[in-house]
Amino acid sequence: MALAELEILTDALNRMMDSCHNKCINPSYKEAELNKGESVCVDRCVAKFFEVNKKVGEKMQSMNNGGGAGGGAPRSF
Amino acid sequence: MSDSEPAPPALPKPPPPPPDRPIAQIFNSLGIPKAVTNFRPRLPSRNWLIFFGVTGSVLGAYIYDRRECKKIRESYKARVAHLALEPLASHDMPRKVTVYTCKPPGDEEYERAMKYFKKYVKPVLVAAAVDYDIHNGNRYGALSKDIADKIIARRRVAAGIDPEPANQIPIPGQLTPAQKRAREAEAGIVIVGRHTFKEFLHGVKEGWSASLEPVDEEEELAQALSLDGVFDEPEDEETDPAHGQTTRLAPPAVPQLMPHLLHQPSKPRKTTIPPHLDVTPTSIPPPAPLLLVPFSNILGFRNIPFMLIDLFNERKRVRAGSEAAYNLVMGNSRPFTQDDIDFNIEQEEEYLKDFNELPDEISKTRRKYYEELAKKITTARELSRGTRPPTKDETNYPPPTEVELRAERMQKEKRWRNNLRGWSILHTGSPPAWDPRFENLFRVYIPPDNEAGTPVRSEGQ
Repeated sequence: MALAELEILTDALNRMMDSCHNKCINPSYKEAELNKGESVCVDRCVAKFFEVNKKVGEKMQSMNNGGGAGGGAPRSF
Repeated sequence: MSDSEPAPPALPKPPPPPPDRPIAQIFNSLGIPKAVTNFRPRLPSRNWLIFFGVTGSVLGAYIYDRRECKKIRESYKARVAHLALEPLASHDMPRKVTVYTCKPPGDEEYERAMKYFKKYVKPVLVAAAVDYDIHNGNRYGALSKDIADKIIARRRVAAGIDPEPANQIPIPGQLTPAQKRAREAEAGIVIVGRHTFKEFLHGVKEGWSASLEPVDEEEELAQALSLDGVFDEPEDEETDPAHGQTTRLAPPAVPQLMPHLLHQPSKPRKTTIPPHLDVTPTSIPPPAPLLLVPFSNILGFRNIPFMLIDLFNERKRVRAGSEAAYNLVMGNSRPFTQDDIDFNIEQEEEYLKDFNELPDEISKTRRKYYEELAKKITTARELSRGTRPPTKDETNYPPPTEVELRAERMQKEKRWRNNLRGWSILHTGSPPAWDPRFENLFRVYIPPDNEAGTPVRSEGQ
């Protein structure tokens, strides 16, 4: 059970890393540090990801409780 | 026979096909079909010309406008793009501005000002790597209350009544509240439109003037409502229900509800804060400079022509929004003057009549509601006491009980009162809230001095 939980969490984190990296970071690396534009973008991207994850989790929880036949288990972290 | 019959009218002969031009003959012999060599373009008919002319010019105007928009936006983005390329150490935070928007008067769409910000101002902020935090007021007066509550919470912490909000998990590079406040004071505040400006000023004034005593608004409202006797039992109900009902149809309290809506009764509350802590501060710490973004929201059936004109003049708003964002990014500011009180005042002329007549509207709805309510209360009591058997309808769809009615009334009163409070801040002609302490407090962003593009930061005035 704990292992499955961990897997879900890692999976979500990986997906978040992928999408935010693709969205925000210029693939032609020139310096070690992020620049300002990139870090603002990453900030917002991660915040949005967590927020959406939370909202979806809540929604599915309420569907599970309310409808009974709602979607699968909530996958929030 | 043949001469008795009138000769058929001579049909106009089709014109003989034009002789092939010599050059066409050559092409034909080369294998290019006649349909191609005979092609002679001519103008389409008048109707087609009208159709093409109208469609073409409308489309052209639209496309031209959108292209201009793109150009303007790109030019502003290019002017600030160098800021986004600066390196940022991993524990440093980028500049983060606070954006206030709220529901425009008379508009059901409560996010309109927020959308305006996102469409016209945000692109330049993103290009300049300025982070932002949007606070949107979804109801009239909600933003003002939000701002006031935050200021009061901050004052309570400063007075030592509440503890500093502690961090559960220490994170490296996390700022202390004081550092956070200092950062906020440098970052900037974006205010979209006059309605937001009014709510903002009202909220700041309220926050720095109100008592630090926590207010339970539900409780206060419940008390105020319990006094007006809508749910009181008429004495003669047992003997004469019909008569009892008529006396209740006109609840004496309803007209009296109006006066204490705008100025809340100042009845003594139980105080938990020693009076030496609960003082109104004589001065206000200076907030971040304000960016006043002009906003216009044309509504109403009769204004559709103006909406159409706006559709083809998007570039004006793009320019205004980008210009504002550029000023914010560059960070040059001047003190707030008395002229700024009239910021974007022409927006007030756009409010629909419905909005300015909101109090009448609400009192009308309220009167109607209380008339209905009196009937419902009678039914609910009759049923709960069993003075009469429920009708078939009532068994199938039970009418609301008295408890439900009370809750519903509470909800409605709350909404009406909040709307009225918001209206009193926003309506056309109401002056923005002002406080003597506001003198020399605010600053306003202005275009940078040097148009060369080097950033000028206001050094946290």
